[in-house]
Amino acid sequence: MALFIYGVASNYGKDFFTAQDRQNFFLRGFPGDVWVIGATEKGALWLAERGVEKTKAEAQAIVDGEVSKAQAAYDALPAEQKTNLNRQRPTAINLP
Amino acid sequence: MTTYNEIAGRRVNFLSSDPTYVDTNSDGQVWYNSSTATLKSWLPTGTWSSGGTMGTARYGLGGAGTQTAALAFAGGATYTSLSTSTESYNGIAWTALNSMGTARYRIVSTGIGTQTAALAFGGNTQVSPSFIVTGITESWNGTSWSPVASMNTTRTSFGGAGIQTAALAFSGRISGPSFTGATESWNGSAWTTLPATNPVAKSGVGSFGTQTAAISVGGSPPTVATTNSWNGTTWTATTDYPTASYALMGFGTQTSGIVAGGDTPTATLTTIWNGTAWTATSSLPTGRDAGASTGTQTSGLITGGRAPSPTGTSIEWNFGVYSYSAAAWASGGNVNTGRTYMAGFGTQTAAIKAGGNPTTNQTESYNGSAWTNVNNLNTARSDFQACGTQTAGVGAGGYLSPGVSNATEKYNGSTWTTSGNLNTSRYNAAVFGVDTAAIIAGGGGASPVGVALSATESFNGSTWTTTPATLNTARRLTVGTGINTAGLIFSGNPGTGVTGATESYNGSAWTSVNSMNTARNALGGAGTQTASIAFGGNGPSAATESWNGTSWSNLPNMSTARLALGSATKGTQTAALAFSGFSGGILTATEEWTGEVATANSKTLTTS
Repeated sequence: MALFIYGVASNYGKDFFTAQDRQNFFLRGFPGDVWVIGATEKGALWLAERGVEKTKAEAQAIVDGEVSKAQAAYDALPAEQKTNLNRQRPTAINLP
Repeated sequence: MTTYNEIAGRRVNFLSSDPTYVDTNSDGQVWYNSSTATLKSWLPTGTWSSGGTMGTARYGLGGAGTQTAALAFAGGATYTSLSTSTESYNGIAWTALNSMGTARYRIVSTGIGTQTAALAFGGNTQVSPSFIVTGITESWNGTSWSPVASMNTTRTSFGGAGIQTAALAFSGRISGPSFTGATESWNGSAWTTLPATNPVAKSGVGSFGTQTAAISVGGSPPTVATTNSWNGTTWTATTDYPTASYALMGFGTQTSGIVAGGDTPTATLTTIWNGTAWTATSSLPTGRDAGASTGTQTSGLITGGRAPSPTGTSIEWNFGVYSYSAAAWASGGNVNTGRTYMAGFGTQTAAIKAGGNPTTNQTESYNGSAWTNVNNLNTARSDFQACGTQTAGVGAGGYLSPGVSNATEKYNGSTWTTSGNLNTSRYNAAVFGVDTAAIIAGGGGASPVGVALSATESFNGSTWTTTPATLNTARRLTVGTGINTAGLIFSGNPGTGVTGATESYNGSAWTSVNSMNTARNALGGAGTQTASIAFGGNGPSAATESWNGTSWSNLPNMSTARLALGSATKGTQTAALAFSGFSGGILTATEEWTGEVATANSKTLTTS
């Protein structure tokens, strides 16, 4: 059985996820409004109420796209900012 | 008529609201609440609540210790995937430790020993293609496992009790079709087979107690409800468990125990054992069996097991007037404009976000549910730092793209006003205190730009004064908490890489104290010198840690890993706020931390 469910859900702020949700199931947010949720009934219901389920490959592609945009933004930074502010180029994120 | 005072030695108080439960001296207190016209008393209850999740999901594992200092080891995710994994628990989170020498499962489930002195013995080392049971015994010293003398009777799915230097083993399966009731004792160096055998010669026997005062409960096949009591010499039948079951999870003593779950099939039943009888109490949240169980009748822990699939989750048992809700991060209102490297101050329900990258003078105010744009800073800047409350804050320094600022501004809840400049221009420093008594320490300096500073300055409400105190570890991208006479700085970037170094400030000097578990920079924090919380940071990280004045402990992670986040630094260890930051993209999301909450339960007395 799969350990996780993958989905996209826009974080609308307060009560998007509650402390009780965090105790009920695994939940991790990633770029592009991608969420990785523990594959439990409560986790599945949480996603069904807030967003749409994706395959892991689809979710990973969204994250990759966001990271690519962030890398491009980093590359466009003035050299003085990269040097003086200890900015690091965003690295790839692999979904669990 | 006999009065309550004559019975209990205390009067029934006439109160307009429920009193505060103080400690066990409050037990038995009865009061009349005149507002609700009810006669009430404190109500001790047993409750299960969620605990931390192990890194390795498994069942048939062993355990040791207490609810807040536990150890878990061995077990299997499946019968073909047996584990040597060892993990420790601090009451909040599990941490991987050195592995055992022999992978095995179906060992004694009740705790044997402590987090730093445990014992593992017996179990299955293989089920298929050959059924192999072992008597191998390993001893844990808090750091590593060492092999010691093996059991006389190799066995699996058996009962046991005791501590590292005085343990007991009984019953169990000795081969595929064969079972034993053999009892043997461990004296810290060798196993001795005892004359008495447990009449329950079965596997899956639940157990708890000590080497000389133990309980054996249930077992299979066939599944029984038999309960036997051990006095160090003989086994005696006592009151049957309420239902036939096996793979039960028990903890406590021979006269004061808890037994839960079991395979009947996977059950939720929880029972209190008083030495003579079983009483059903609050059920497990979900059915579970074959987990590790440890603790006392008033404070226990079950971790792992099958629920019904192999799990790494833990559940905590508490019996008393208090019930507890677990600590966790929850979503808060989104910021209007996502930023990185901004200043944050105030509390969880009254916070300010100011400046940040891309360089801005924008300021937002949080009321506990939503952010509102308010009057801007006079000087736009990123990598900015500030402290104080939502209506009395002070910020200083920052990065001007290019250039390093020494400008100071004070915030009164509606507008920013310029104040005395810093003596040393800096950015990404630690600032703590209030608008009339603040400290700034460390940061990236101006010459050369970015050099990690150790210099400390003190603010009196209008002027910054350089103090003789210097950080032991110069750093930038750091966080400070506390007040000007009792502060704390933790983690950061010492020039290259990251440091977890923590230093305590007493108003005149910095003292190095224990480092964070996860070194990082660009993190958030809140709290005081003796009770702080740290979260997020480079990586990006979701890790959360708490500081108790002596050491750092891991807490449940944030939902979204992030660096360069904002935090309400005047928040507390149990009510913190994290907002915005970077996680492969600039975030607008806010998360609110609520620490473990204890609630005293009372009941209304009626005549029925």
